[in-house]
Amino acid sequence: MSSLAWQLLKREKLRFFIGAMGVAFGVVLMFMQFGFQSALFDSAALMQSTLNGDIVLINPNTTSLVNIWHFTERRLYQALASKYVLSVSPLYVGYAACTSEYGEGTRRTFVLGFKPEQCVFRINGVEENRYKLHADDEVLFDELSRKEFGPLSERLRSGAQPTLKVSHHNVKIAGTFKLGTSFGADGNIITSDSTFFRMGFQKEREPGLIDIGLIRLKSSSDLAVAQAELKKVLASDVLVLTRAEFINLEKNYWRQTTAIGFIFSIGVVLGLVVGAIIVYQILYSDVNDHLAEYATLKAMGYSDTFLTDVVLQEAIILSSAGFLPGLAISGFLYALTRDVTGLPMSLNLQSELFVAALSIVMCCCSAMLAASRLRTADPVECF
Amino acid sequence: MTIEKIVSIQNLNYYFGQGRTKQQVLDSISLDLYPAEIALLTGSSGSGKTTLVSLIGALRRNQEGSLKVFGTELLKADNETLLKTRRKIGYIFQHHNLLKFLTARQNVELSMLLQREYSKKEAEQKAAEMLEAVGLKDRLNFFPDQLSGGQKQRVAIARALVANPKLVIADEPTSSLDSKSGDEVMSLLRLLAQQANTAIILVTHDVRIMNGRDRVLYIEDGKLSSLPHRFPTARISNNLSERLASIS
Repeated sequence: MSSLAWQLLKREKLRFFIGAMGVAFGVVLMFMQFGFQSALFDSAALMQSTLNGDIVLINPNTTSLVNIWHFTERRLYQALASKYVLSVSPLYVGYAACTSEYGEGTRRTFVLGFKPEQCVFRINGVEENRYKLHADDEVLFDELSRKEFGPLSERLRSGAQPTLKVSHHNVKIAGTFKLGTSFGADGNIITSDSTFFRMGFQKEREPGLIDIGLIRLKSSSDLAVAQAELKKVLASDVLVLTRAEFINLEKNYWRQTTAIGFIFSIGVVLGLVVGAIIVYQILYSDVNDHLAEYATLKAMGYSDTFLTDVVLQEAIILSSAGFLPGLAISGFLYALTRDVTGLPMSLNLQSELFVAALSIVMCCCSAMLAASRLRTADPVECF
Repeated sequence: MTIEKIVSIQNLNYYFGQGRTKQQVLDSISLDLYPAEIALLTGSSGSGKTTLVSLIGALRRNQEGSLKVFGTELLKADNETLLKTRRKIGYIFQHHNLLKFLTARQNVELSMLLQREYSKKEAEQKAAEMLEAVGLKDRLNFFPDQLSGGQKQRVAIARALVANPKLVIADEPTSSLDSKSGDEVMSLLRLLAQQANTAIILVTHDVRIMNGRDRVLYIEDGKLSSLPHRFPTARISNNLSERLASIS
């Protein structure tokens, strides 16, 4: 005989369905919160994750890409003295107001400058096209920038060469790449260091100052050892980070210095509460409707613990039945969000396991509350 | 070898309410029940018979006087003792007997699964055998709402007796049945009980099932007697004489 819990749910198909949908709803709410939060953090560090380097140098005051301090390029070239280092690349970073001839209005754009003879970015479209950046005023444009820039990649494919006005300086689009936007800017542009300065960024800085120093180690080098040595060799006016640490720096900035993490956590809790309330309602009315039968079970000699277990099992069945549809709906909504906003929302095993665990906990709590109704099932009433 | 009494009650008193609203419901009840004995308990509503039977069935806690079931004293017993006692008793209730969301077979298995010493397979098999014994071989997988009143009571009997309890408590098992079904139910009950040496306490109003051979206990105003007093004697003696007449 299959368990009492399963038999109970099987007979009341509508109730089972509504309960499962309640769980699915809570699951979707939680996944959306986790997804937005991860998307924010991942997209904030998206550019960093594409860097072709093992060690990164930054000014110790730099906390994130929206708060970058310059430092002298001498530090970067001094690193070449280390036997672990293969090559170095300077990176220039800035934000500019950008107007597109096919788009509407002026948008805040993230601009990256590098030496086009070096392979700095592991991004589709940048590697193939960077040779074009040796010419002046040529830029590469991120296709995944917001749609308000207009259909620039289509124009490009049809043979035209669209122009952009970046900080009042006209540049031509030589090619496109795919990266993705974050909360800092509406679009991304990659260009050569000389074009970068022609856009007007040199007004803010003295020559010889860079924003990020990228260091590539020889394949035989050990990362930890090389990092330790560079920390010793270079003066303390520059921070020596691994690429992973650089990515975490960015994520932590958004997590800690803004209210974002807190707000998303509240969102997760709300999802939990909504799901819990729906499941509680379902289980409570189920217990209520079967009160006489529970009383019969008590009279026969089944213990209170056994009956509470039945309700708990019902909750776990509901939780399992609702999780998969919730996951599927979340996957669909993630894809929709990616399409509309360009944010890198994707499901990963870690978040799936976490939400699954949360939904089971949520259902069990509802079950324990609903099971308190069992106390009113009085076996004496059977006679 | 002395025969162990199944139920042994001495000077049982039971009260409802507290303080000024305290009401005595059972008064100096004394009763012994032996294995394979069938006792019919009858009395008007409010007489206390339901209370007495729920005390014997370990559904209520005894407050005053000795009440031993299977040799265990239930006076002021804790919940654990009451629960353990209940597991050894088979119950047939008047209403809400069967679980509506389980089939006949699953309902009977419920009884078996309560006794830890049976595996799932054994429980399934014994349940099927018991249902066959009550004539419901073809109804094993039917739900209660697909069974007639008489059939439901037979499932209830199967469930009450499947684990071979030493005591069965039945509450008005025939009152919602026509006389043919009622007769079938009673003969089944008597037969199976006799085979398994089970004692039965049967609460009833139904004079049709009193065959003159069972032990009858009358309860009125909380007091127990083997003699009917202030009972509708006219009706009952008519029936008895009719029956005696039909035997000869």
